[in-house]
Amino acid sequence: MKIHLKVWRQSGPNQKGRLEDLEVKDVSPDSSFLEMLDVVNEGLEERGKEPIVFDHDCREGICGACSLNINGVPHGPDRQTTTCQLHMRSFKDGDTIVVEPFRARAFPVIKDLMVDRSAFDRIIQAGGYVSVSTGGVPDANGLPVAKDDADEAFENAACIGCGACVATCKNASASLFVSAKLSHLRLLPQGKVEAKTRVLNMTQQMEEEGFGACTNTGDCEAVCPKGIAMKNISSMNVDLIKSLLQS
Amino acid sequence: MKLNAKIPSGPIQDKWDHHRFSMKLVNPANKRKHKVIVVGTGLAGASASASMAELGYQVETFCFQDSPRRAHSIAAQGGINAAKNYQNDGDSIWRLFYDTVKGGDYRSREANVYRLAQVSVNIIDQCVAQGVPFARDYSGLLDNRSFGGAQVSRTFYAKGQTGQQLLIGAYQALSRQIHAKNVRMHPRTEMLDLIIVDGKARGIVVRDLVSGSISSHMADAVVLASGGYSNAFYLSTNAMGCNVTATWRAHRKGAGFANPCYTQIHPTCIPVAGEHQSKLTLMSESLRNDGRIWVPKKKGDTRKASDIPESERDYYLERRYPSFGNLVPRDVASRAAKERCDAGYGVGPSGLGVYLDFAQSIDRLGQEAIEARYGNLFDMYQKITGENPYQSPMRIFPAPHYTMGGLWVDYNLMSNVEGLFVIGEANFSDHGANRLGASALMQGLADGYFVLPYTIGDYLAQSDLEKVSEDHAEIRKAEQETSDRIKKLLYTKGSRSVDSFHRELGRLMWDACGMSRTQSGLKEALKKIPEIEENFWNQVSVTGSEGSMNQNLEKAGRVADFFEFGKIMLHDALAREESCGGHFREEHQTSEGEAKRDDENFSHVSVWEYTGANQTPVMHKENLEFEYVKPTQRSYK
Amino acid sequence: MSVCTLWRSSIVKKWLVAITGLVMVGFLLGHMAGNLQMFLGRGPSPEATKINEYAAFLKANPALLWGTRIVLLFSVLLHIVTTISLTRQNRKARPESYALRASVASNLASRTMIFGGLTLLFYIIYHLLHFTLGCVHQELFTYPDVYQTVLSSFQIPLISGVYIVAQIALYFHLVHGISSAGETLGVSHPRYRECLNRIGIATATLICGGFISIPVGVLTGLIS
Repeated sequence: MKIHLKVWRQSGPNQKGRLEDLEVKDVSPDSSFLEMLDVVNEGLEERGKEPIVFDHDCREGICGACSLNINGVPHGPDRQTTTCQLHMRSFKDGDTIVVEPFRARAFPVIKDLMVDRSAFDRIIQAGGYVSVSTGGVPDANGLPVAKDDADEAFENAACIGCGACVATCKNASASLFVSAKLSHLRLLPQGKVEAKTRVLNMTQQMEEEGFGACTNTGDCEAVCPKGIAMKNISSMNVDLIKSLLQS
Repeated sequence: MKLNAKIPSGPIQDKWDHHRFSMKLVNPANKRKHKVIVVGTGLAGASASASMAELGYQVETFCFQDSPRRAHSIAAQGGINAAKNYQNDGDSIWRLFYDTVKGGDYRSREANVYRLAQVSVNIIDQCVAQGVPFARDYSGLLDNRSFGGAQVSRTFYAKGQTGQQLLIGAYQALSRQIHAKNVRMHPRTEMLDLIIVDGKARGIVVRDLVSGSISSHMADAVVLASGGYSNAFYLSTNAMGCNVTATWRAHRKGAGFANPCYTQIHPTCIPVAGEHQSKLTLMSESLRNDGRIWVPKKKGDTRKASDIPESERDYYLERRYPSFGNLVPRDVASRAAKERCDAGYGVGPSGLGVYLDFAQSIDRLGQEAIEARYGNLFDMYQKITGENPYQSPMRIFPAPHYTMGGLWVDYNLMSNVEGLFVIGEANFSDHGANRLGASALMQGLADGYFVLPYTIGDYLAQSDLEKVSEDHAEIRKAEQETSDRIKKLLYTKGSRSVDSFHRELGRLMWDACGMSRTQSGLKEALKKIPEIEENFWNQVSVTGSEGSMNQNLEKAGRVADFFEFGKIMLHDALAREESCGGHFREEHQTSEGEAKRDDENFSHVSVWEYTGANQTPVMHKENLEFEYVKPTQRSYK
Repeated sequence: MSVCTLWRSSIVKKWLVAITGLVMVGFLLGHMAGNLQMFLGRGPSPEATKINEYAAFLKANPALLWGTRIVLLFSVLLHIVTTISLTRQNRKARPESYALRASVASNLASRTMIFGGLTLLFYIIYHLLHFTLGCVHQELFTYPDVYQTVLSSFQIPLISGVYIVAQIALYFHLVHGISSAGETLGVSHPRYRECLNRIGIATATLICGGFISIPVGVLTGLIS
């Protein structure tokens, strides 16, 4: 396959970036999107040029490191697929592919396609946990949890923190990410205890990080590689108002 | 090198309890005065950081990823073992202990393994309390499955994402401590050297991967939780960033490296598709519960799987191991696949693959049942290969996956360098020569939550740790060496990519020191590595600058360490004149092609001492004694 | 919890937008129903014309009239202030836009709420100046004969056209607005969300269809 790439190159956080044109020949349809970029990078290195910087690690769709806005959509054209699991067979010979970093004020560009998503970590630090220390906990089967609740908690806990929801949202809102964590913990009896303060603290941190507000367009749910549902956002809204009224 | 395992005396079931009592405690008011550095934020590193911070220590934690949540523990699929006996099927701490020692082919330390089985029970309680959404049955109680050939159901799981859920639990506990300012977190920061002052590990040299600046961080103890070295093979199931640098640098500073040749090759991975391949993807071992493994009976059969009649299929695991069949341990299953492929029966374009067939299970249980059990794995297979595994059998091949070897540690998880603790996959202690499925998560969390927080207190309480001045000669020296090395890489200005060298090294290691090893192959590889290494230092192209984000430079540094490390792996494999667990020497096999252990001469841990660049390393031995589980020939027939 | 803290929360603001929006939807339903009295035709005298009687009834009940007007004015202002504040926050959240952006699930209605809203704001001002205050098209203003004012206004195709276009803008604003308000206020289950979408479309069709029927009725001679 032959691919025409338009890749965002930006040498640092405060430098101006631009789209660079690159021709890639002999792309194997069986290679992943990132492996295609590896080949491009090897070529650049051999010519003494700086390779394209992008975040990636596990390359099996679970660590959440890979990002990339591919042809206008985070993680590219396939649904419920991270960039590292996207394969070149999803494209056609001769295609032009535009690759940009995830864009949001809360996700500043570090270099090229790499952005800083530590805002997500700070939101978790603000309250995305159960305040339990190691040791002194009851037996694991001491508290039964309805299977439906456990399953739903799992579905929300499956969020990999990649930031695609923010990247695609026209408002760069982090509502899906925050609400998934809130639902995960709220649905379990262990996490329910602190649910009221958690929603206050996490949403407050979300505002401070400079994310936008949710306008229920539904794009986040559609691009989420783990299929996290938008209904969490509704639950978060109600829980926050309830918490505010009670505090 | 002095190796004292410090195994407490007394009956094995009381060792840990007695030891916990006899250990010195740090006064709560004094804990704040002690600082501990943790490198790595996988299950071991994150759980240790959180637990120590909860106790009151000042913790500084480092990871090269952009967030502690991304450490590669996240990719573990199958589950975590614990001797809870919730299923009333005869499990117990003793049985988990026994299975782990046996599964490790009698090359692990009994006392450590018993302790691991003991605390396994607490891990599940802890994780549930943190909100880890384990699978439950309709009663609302926790569900278990049998895993990796165990005869009892002791594996707790969260669909195919157990590692992710456990890591998020530990990450959340860590986040809570970061918020409370008990942990200072340094993401995108890579450890490049260990600082030893007066014989004690007192700090590390790191590079800030964003700004490129080199700096030192000092503490009273250093904990390495930096994972394994499977990426020495280039292609493995490890994440792209997994590396040996932290443990290798510590080894160069005096820490003994134990059993580097013990590597686990996982039998169910997706085969290599071509030159472009950057990593291999594991398919959970649980697939073997319902899938049957076979190859055609005819050599070089190019027919489609569905066109090969039942009578012309060789279900070789069921044929060779009638009692365990497709559920034999990983090392056995991997070697059997390699044997068939080497003999010319492999399938797929490269001939390096065997079929994992679900057709009969789908007929028996219905596609829905199979979908419910393995849906996400089937989807993943289809995404990667473009083939539908519901219609045609999966093709699988073994791939490097986990490394049992690691830095040598005593019962307290301290290396032979005082103040240097090593936990999780980075140490060598609990799995012997082969790790059982669902035991890696157990060990990482056992070390981090329930072992290290106790034993490190004992060290801190007893040690005289004077403050090290910021301009201490050792700090300057380590920083200088680190920065010289970086400059050397940048000034080479060659024209070959870092990856091309990594691939070359990986292929060599895989051929000589992969699933089976021979004396001649290992010797040959030991001759070749220095040649490739020399080419690397003369021809590698590392572009960009040292003072900015430079992934090319990061990779080059890691590959340079893999070159050095590869040599002790080969030395170790060469010195171990027996076959055990993941280490299979072709010279040492039974007439039926099974691994032949030599307990008389090799019932020891091989601990390697660094003697200088391009010097032959020196081996020391820690003898292993088996009081409770008597070594027998493992048989799965 | 101080007002300032509450105002900093985008979720609180979303609730304000949703609640004020729904208040306005309620008003629109009533307003539309009242307007449909145009179809009841002219009575024997202006005073005995149904719609004029209705207008007179409202005038005679200042508590009802002004109560509604105050609630409405408050809702409109709060709706505008909060949406502008949220929009500014949203704009700031992505300072550098994508060279190429594709939507996966969002539709035109959901992406253009602020433009639709601003269009409606200008329309409402014009509408008040036209029918309530009689400042524009003074020559057509025949208070208290509302029937005549409406009739003679809508007989001018340009005025009818403006009203019809405004109603189409209102339709798109309501289709996303009603379902979005429901989601914001907590309707979360996918099944109910589907239902909510249908309610949104039905309500928007009813309101806008009802309103549009009047200029159309006048233009086609159904109302004369």
